[in-house]
Amino acid sequence: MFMRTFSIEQTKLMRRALPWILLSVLAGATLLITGINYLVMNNSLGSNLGTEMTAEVRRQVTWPDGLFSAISIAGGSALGGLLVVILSGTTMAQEYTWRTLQQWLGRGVPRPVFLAAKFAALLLPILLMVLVPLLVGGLLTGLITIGVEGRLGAGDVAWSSLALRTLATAYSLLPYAALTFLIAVATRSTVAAVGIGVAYALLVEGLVLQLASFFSESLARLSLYLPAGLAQSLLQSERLVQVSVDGRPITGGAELLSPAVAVAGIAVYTVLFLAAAIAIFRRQDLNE
Amino acid sequence: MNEIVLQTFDLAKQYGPVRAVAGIDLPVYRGEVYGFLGPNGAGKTTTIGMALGLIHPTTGRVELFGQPVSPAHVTPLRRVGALVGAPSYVPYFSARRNLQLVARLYPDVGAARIDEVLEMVGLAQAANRPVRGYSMGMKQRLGLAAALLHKPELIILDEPTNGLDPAGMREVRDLLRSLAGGGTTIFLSSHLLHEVEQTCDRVAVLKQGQIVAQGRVSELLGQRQVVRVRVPLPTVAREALLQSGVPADQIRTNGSYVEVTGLPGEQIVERLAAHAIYPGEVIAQGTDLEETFLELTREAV
Repeated sequence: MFMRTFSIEQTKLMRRALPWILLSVLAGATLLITGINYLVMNNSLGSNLGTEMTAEVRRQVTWPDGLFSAISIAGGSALGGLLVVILSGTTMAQEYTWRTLQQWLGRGVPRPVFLAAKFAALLLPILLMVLVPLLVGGLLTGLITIGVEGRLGAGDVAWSSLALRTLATAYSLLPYAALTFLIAVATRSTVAAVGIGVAYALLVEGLVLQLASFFSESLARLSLYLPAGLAQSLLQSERLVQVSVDGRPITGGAELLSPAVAVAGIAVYTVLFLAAAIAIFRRQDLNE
Repeated sequence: MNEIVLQTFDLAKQYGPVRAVAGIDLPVYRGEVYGFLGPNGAGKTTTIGMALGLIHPTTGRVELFGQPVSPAHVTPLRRVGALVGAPSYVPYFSARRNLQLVARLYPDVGAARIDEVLEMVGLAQAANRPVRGYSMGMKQRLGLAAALLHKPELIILDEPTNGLDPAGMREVRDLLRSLAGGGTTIFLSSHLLHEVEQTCDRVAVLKQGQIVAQGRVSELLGQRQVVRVRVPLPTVAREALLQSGVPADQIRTNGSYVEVTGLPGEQIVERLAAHAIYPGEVIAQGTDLEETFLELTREAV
């Protein structure tokens, strides 16, 4: 029953316009950001960066670092998180609006199976949300690299690290998808699910992470256990993060968590949010 | 009447202070067409929702094919097809694609069956157009097609002819008769009483969440039939009938007539004759389901 239901949900999701529109937005944003960085690098926008900053920007638009920069656009605290929230909230909440839940549940599909299948169907578009910036950004930065350095330097790319980073980025988006899923089930509202999800991903977490460091190192460390902090730990392992305000680094920033803890933490959040969604869904009356 | 395919046991649903359904007991037998009637807000759709595992009963239970059904136990629903309220569909898909999605739940349902049900409900020509552009009647036909797709043993229909023109209603009525003739059990909720009268074997009338009448259509109509008997002394005739056991609320005098409800004319004449009262005229006034329904739902519960 799970596989049949998953097949149905995958088809419903991938054959509608929404995920492709979101992927197009990601592709466009990747082109735009990479293009602007290229122009900045060339001082074409009148920006007079110092030598060090120019070199940093150059690294971001050329291989190998350009590939990793492209993926970062899909991160949880960046555009990827926002679009995952929109996709997850919309696809679940609209089932209530369209009354299609009654169609499946009234045919003997168990509620936990339905919800699990519906969430599982989100995994492919979430992965695509990371792959699309990688491919688009990778292509553009590849062209820039050839133009700037005369060679692609594919041999300089740590492909296994890139693959791992791609998967890790997609994995770090799961708590946002699951949280929005939960809100959609609880509120039965697309507006509420997307609104609360976006507010959490873009405002709440960022604020908490910023403010926690003002109070104490312990609080700053605790804040690393939020999904955004776990994502940071997973994606920036072995690098000390410096929590900053207004671009000025604060010394004594919290050391990141280990990748293993980050992976486990993300899994715990995802499972807990989904379990809560299932618990609520099982209790709901699906009237007219 | 043999196997019971749908049965409720003291089924009730309360929403805060509102009692939507209050202790319903009804059995639906295999192969019959069962009508479920009631005014708006009587609890019909809530009852159907509980039968389909979409709504949690406050008390009582539902069984399908002898197995319990609830939001947590839905396996028996695999043998049921349902159209409840407005039809459910994916608006950006065509009718055919919608049915193909549903068909994935049933390994035995193939493309041929999809074509067959589209033909049955009159959607074959429009099958490949997105459903978002369909009229209400077309969407209703699609909902019916989805309910019939896997040849269910029990079909539960809530207002199946909603949005259909008279020709469409006739088609649906004929379709239901054909399905019933083939042994499919049909549980039908409708406001169209003449449709129910023509289609259903048994009915239940619901008012304020309670069943106020239940039984074969002919029995229900018979119970409400009024027989007018012309007698020389109506008050004496009334007393005679009371003595013979006819309840007082079923007897009314009206000029030179005594009007009796719920008894066939032959029995009335027999009881009067036992008291040496011989009617000059006996008139059985026919009643239809609509009149019966209105009377039942007007009466206090």
